[in-house]
Amino acid sequence: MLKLYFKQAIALIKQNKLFSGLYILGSALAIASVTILAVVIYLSVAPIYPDTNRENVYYLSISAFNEKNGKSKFVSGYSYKAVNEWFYSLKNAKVVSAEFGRGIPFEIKQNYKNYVFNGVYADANFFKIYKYRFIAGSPFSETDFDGKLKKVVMSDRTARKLFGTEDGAIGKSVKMRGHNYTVCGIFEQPSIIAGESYAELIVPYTTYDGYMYEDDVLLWYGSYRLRFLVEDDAQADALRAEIVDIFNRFNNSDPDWEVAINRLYMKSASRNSSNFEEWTEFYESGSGILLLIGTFILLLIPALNLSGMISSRMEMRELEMGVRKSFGATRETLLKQVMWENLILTIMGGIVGIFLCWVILYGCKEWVFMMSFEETATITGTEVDITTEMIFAPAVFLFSLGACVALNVMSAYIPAKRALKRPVVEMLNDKK
Amino acid sequence: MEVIKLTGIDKIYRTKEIETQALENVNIEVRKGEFVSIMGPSGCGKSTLLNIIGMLDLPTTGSVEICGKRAENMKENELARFRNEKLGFVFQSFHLINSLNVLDNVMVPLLYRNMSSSERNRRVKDVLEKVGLSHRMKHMPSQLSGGQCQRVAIARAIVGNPEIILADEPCGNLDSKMGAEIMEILSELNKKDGRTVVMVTHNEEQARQTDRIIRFFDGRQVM
Ligand SMILES: Nc1ncnc2c1ncn2[C@@H]1O[C@H](COP(=O)(O)OP(=O)(O)OP(=O)(O)O)[C@@H](O)[C@H]1O
Ligand SMILES: [Mg+2]
Repeated sequence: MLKLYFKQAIALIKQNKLFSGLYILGSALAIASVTILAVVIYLSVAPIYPDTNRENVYYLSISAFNEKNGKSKFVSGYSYKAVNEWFYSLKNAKVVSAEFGRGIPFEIKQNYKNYVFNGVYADANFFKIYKYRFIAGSPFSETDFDGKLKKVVMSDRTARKLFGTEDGAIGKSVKMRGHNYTVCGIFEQPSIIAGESYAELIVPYTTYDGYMYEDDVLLWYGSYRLRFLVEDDAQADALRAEIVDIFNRFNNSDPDWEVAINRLYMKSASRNSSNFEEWTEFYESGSGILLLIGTFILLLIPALNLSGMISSRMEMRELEMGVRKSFGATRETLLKQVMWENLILTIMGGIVGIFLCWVILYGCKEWVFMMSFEETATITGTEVDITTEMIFAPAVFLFSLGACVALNVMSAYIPAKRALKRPVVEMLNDKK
Repeated sequence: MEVIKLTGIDKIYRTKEIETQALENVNIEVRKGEFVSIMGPSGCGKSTLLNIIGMLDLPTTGSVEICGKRAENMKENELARFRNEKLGFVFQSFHLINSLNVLDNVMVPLLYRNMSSSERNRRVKDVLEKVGLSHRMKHMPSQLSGGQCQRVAIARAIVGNPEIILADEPCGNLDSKMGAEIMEILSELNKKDGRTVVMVTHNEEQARQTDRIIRFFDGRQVM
């Protein structure tokens, strides 16, 4: 039967090229828009280079520190002391890494030109959490880190900008913040879409002059943020419990300060987060819901337009439907037929739409992605890279297919059903 | 045995302003295997009658019994099935589906039956042979002459082996030679296959070839 519907759909396309063309175009635009949405949301949770462990990477960026007498309060990251005493020794994580400096522009003067890069001060564990692919050299080691060696790891693109060469940059030196750093590794430039794992250059945080700075008032707060790689969800829960335990012990022993435990912002990267609790919860309840709501809104208007087209198309096909009815087709059968035929048109539109989506994503990637990755991107006017793995994702493709079905139902069901309700005699008699 | 039994049929069309009595107290019985023609001037209610016999429409009052089944007692699905199995229509103006070729047009009634596609194809080819159109299977309706279209319509009406064939002016749009060909096919279906045929016609000569003529005037049966 499906083969038959397909045949009929092709016949209808041939018979009325203008209608079919417009219909396919309309569906294509609708599917393109929701596929773009899907890609954007997918990329905020998908494992993409170098964040290939994304679903097992967790972030602890800030805590709320309250003075017990209620006088003051800090919401911030952690000090070097906290990182060492509280976090590096955590048992329920495969890797613990601390970092700061994300969001601060790294200025480099080279050949009398000023460059600004997106960099990060990190520890050697950074490279155990994110799988940077090195095309030359290697990351700085634990020993380099402990020895405070002024080494820098940079992306191929960064190297090209600074030295005009990629692997040739190894061993060269750059001046940042008054110090000379030696290039020790060149990695493949990640896309800014990779979010938290994105960096153009990485240096050991022990080379930063004030890296051990702590505040007199509260020794524990500072600029460090933490990343954890865990085995699985169970270990993530255990990790959370372990951190709560540490905070509880601190709260019980410190005379002046306590950490707000009910606001422990430990987030999975695959549920990309901002720092506002409500927003985070919304996100955590699923990017899925966000996607569904967005899709519905994006499909609604095109569906209404297409539904008008189908309505007039059904009028043109009234005689056919009348004839089929008089030879024994029930309304259900005909409805099924119309829906299938139409789905075939919609899917053709969908395929065009997916292509259109790729074209738009490649052509307007800055514009599309800056909206969702604004924070990091505004620093340096970074380019957005899109790789095929990002937009040829099977999950996105399946979603687009589902959107086709939804669009088809939203646009065809009501007009088809209404048209088929007319009595047979009327359908046969309408002279057209 | 009567396969068609109409008792006290009235059909009134009501629109906002006017009321048209298309049929008035019509009583008709047709026996199995009979070839009946219906005659009367334009607008006297012939098509309306055929629609009612074909269960495409219900009378305003009166009872319709076809092959022992009462139309008013049947649900939509039952009706559809009944039409599919027992009735074959040949419409006044062919009513072929323009987007389908000859083969697919004729196949329409079989689509709504449980049947393998090879069986469908076999049956369609058989009837197309019967009406002399085997060599036109892949043609579209727009590529056929009027007589050929009507033969396709007849093939479609008989492909499902219905007991009753309802033909509304099957020769109306054709010249006399083609008309004669169509009459030939219909009488053969009646004589050889024992089908009951009810045919509307304006042509006295064709009507005389049938077993019985029912005449209408202004919605009433004249004899
Ligand atoms: N849907 C309808 N609404 C209102 N009036 C109708 C409708 N269908 C038919 N009529 C009227 O009923 C009467 C009978 O119509 P019908 O089509 O049965 O005539 P007919 O005998 O088949 O005519 P013809 O020989 O021209 O085909 C006509 O007066 C017609 O105007
Ligand atoms: Mg008529």
